Amino acid sequence: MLSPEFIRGPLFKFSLLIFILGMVYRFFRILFMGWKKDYAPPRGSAWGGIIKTYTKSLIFLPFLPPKFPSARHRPLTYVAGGLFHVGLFAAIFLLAPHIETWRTLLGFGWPALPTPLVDGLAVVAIVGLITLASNRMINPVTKMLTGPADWLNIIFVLLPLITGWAMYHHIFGLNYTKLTNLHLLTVNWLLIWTPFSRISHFLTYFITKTMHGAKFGRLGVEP
Amino acid sequence: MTVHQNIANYYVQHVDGWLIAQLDACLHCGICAEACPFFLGTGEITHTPVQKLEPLRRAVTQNFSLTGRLFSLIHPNQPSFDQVADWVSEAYFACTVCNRCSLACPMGIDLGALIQLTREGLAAAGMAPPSLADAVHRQKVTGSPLGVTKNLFEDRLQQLREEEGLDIPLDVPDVESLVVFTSVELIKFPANLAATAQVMNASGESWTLSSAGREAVNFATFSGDTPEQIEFVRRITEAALQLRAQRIILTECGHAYDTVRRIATQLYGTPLPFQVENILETMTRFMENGSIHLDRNTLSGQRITFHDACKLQRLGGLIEEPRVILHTIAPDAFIEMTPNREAQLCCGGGGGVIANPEADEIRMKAFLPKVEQLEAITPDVVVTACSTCRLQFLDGNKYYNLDIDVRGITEMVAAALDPRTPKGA
Repeated sequence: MLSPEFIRGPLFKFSLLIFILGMVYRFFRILFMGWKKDYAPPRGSAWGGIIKTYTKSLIFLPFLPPKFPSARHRPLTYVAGGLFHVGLFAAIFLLAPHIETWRTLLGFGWPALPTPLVDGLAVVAIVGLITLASNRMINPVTKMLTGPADWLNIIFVLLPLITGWAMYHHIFGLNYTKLTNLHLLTVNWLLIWTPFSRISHFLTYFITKTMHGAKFGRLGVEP
Repeated sequence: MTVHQNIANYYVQHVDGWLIAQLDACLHCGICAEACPFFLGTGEITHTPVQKLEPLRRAVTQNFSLTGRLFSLIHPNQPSFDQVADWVSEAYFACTVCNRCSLACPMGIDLGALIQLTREGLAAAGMAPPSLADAVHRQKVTGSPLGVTKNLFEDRLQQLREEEGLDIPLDVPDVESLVVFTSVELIKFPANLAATAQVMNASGESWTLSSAGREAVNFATFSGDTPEQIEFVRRITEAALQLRAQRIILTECGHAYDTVRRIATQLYGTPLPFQVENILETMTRFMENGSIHLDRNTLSGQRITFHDACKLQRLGGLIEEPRVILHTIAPDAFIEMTPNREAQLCCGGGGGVIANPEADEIRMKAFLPKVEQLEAITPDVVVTACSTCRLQFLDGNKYYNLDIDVRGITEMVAAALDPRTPKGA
């Protein structure tokens, strides 16, 4: 059995290195592979479009029915998707023990949410992701589009969430050290896996969404 | 080299940061399907917009991603001939490049532009449907996909001058505006030509048509044949330069406006030295500066709705212009379809679909969501600003027995100009 010190120490550093290098490579490849430019006189403001698209999708989407009609055909995807991301964000950034990890990495921390609340949000994230996964099997369109990589992504995100939640509740009959090890290992694996997978959409989202807002803003169309 | 390798090579040569970002961002959520009139009209999952990118996605994954490269080494599956035929039929027959999916995508992926790129790769490998490829060839040789030669064009104009008693200037230099028509209007909707001439003459703005730049339609945009696309735009821009016109006005055509105004600047890599306007902008400009006055009461007692065109409204931003016009000439009669504006449902005929006989059946199915929209408001007249939409509405009207009058907006404006000929009433 691997020691927690090894997983927290050298292995974590290695995983972080892969994660950071991989994401930096992805980002710069997109940035430096060249872009087509639109020279037509703008009919609206690109920045206005960018602000509008983020206001709609990041601030209102999980909480209000989206304005665009086709989105209303699939409310489950939006609501479950939105809640999953809120829960995941809370678990990663607002749980007291995790903030301690961030403090050792960054040199500073921030106030945590009460742990029982984050625990609840983590459950929301788990339920949300399982709902999305079930929908992938039920909806004929997503069923066709979903490939093995998508299932691996779901499993690799679900594992740290479930092991973390089990740690807090001391369940599954495993002892705390073993669960901790398991949790840390799944997190390490997720870090290594992310740059090679579509989980990297936490970065590409901001690239495509910015381009989308800018394009339709310039065209004078509400993005 | 096999066909699919030729297709893939085109994408590999044209890969850029934009494309990588777009393809990386897709999470396979399938929301784009819910936006697509072809999916909504048929319920067939193969018409999911992102699925239409299959050849593009395949080529980029196999050449630009580590996992894709490894996987294609282990499992190098070659697409069958049937598969390539499916790619062609999905990209050309089951898509009007209406860009509704681009607005619906939660990740902001520009699906419309990606499908256009998919078509370009297929066209570069010689896989564009024969009906489109033939039309491109005809446009290259005769100057028009419908075979409107210079002589035919001049004869037709002379005929219109005599029939309508109109002044239609041709090849007059140093004018403010060069007006470019589509041959669809010339052949199918000559009343639109007459109406445009009436509006231009009434405004007092100096204008001309050009015999060299006589065709606004660009079939190479539909087929994805980029070299010819540039050539066809160049005919128009060169005519404008030679006539020293300050502005190009494109009449009722969706893709022509987008191609000349926006895509041309991308292909040229430089801004155009003159303004490019759609007739909608021209007419609202005339209304605002008082050079034309419109009668308010020509159309009362009817129910009139406007169909937003994908290239003019959703991709051109000309959303308020037709509404300003219709609220002026039909203040009591104008009603909106739902959804409308940038969220409108495409008619199903654009993007060259209407020109493919192979797509006749599916394009009527894609019109079905439109029929539902129309039935909800039971209009007497549908007004369009795009001749392709108009043709599709005329076909749909017949196919579904809708009994709706389909009209071009310029004709409505021209009719409102002259109260002695109230064509709309």
